[in-house]
Amino acid sequence: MKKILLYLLMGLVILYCLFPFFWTILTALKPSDEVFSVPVTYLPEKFSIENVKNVFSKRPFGRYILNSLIVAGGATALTLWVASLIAFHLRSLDLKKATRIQRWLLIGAIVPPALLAIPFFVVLAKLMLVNHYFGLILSYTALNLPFAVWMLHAAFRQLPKELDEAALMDGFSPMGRLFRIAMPLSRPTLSITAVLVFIFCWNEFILALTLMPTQLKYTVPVGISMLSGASVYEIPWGEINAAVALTTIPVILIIAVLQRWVIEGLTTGAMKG
Amino acid sequence: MGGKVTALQDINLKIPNGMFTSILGPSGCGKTTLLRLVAGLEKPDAGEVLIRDSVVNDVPPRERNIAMVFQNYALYPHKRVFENMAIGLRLRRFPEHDIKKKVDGVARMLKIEDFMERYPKQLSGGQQQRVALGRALVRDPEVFLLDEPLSNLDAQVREVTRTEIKKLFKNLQATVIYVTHDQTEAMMMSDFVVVMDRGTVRQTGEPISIYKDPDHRFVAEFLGTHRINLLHGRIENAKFISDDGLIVYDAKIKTQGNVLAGVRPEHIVLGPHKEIPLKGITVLIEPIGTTHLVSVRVGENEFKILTAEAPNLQNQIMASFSLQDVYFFDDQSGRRLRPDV
Repeated sequence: MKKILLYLLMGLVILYCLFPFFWTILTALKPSDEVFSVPVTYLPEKFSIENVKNVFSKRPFGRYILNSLIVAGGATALTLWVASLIAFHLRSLDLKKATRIQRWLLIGAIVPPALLAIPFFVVLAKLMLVNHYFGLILSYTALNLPFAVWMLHAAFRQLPKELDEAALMDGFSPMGRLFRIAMPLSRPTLSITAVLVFIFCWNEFILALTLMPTQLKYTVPVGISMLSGASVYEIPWGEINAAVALTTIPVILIIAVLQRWVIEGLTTGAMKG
Repeated sequence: MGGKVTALQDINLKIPNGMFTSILGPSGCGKTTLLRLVAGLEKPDAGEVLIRDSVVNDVPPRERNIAMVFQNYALYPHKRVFENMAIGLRLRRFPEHDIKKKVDGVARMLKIEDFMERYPKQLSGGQQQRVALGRALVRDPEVFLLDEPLSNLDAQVREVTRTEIKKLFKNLQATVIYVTHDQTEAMMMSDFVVVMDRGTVRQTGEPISIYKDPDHRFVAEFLGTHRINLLHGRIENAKFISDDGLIVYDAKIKTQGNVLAGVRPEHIVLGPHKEIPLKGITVLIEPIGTTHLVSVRVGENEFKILTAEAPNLQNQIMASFSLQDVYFFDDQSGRRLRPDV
């Protein structure tokens, strides 16, 4: 009996959390007149994919998705790489010193990205990286580094010191110890960090808008914001919802792939030697 | 190695080649630090570490031609057993074919050839330890360093493994440095023992000789299955007088002053068969298989006697021992006082 109650409760919570998402999908599948109908209809009376078609025909939406993938993927990879180098070194310092350094890094995480839009633009303009993928990737990396370093440092510190020493005896180079021992053993943390960084970059708006302002280089959030209807006053909710629903797909895919590692980490438990 | 604690002081040690050497001592005596110095995991603040006459202070561990077996095995959890054993050779660019031959050979020797494809977490403690040993053996180093490898094993597995390890290294005629706090292990396994106490070396030598002829009270107390009986007293005019005056005998020693007189439980016999008598009351009998550890109270002191026959409890009892089985130690320094000094 308790179990049924528990499942019922969980079902309600999930429904509550995911309802906006379901609504988005449902709205995307309604023809445009039904979207605005009063009273509100929950399930579409007529299923139509015209919204989805419009999204791709009116704008180079496929291109937007590609841009987002390049930027978010690139930023995630770069962040993880740099963060792992930093975190690995931090691990060899004594804990107090390492924590102090981490706290300083955290200052970077406190600054809201919107504040950085103009300063970053100025710097990147000087580097001729405005409207260039790498400019945005660098910016995202900078913003996510404190968090990534924090996570990886904690994960690396949990690895027993003897493992390092055995590796020293076996003849691993320091980079070897990082990439062939520390990283594989920290897969769960790496996955979680990667997912969170990816989601941040994928959803980020202000910096993307400022630093990649030409239409062909829009990332998805910017692209969605530019969707407009026949007149200035019309907000094409149908298409917007379709676009939003589409953009969640890559993220869901990535999480589906990486979750295997996260769960694997949770079940293997502590290492013994 | 710096900081506030001095782990090792004034160490001047020569580990013999081709022999099994134990570094024995209680926790915190610096034995593991000593091992790590040889391994290259620690650097000495002063002095030199030499392997075969060459100074290796600045040589990193991987180039010292040594292999280490850690107390908790330190196997790579994300690699299979075969890989764990092969990796040292792979990183040194050995040809793949040779690596396979070597690893398989060692696996057969250690009887772990069935586990090659498993991961460490799928093995028992004893099996993991053999893999750790195998990892070291495969490297064929000049020196094997073992850091209390048996301490994580169950008592029975430990005994079997102890013999196996001794036989293994004897066959290889390898130079082994074995760190342990278990004096039984050190005595049974080694050709050479280094006894350490709080950062200094107290005595070195063959197990039997340091057992029979300890240089220091610490060594006498630490070695021996059953703890040595130590009696406080003084020597005046070549006579030993215990503090409570009850035990007096000829000491045949020239020194005067406060001393500790030590006799091992196995050297005291029941009955008046030896020269120096002890009269007291049995207060405790601890049976150990075919023998008993009998505690006898003499005045204010208690002696433990190892004997086959169990006397009656709370009875008057007479025991005796020989002067040649007595060790005298200086009360202040703990140093051994030998006769005719």
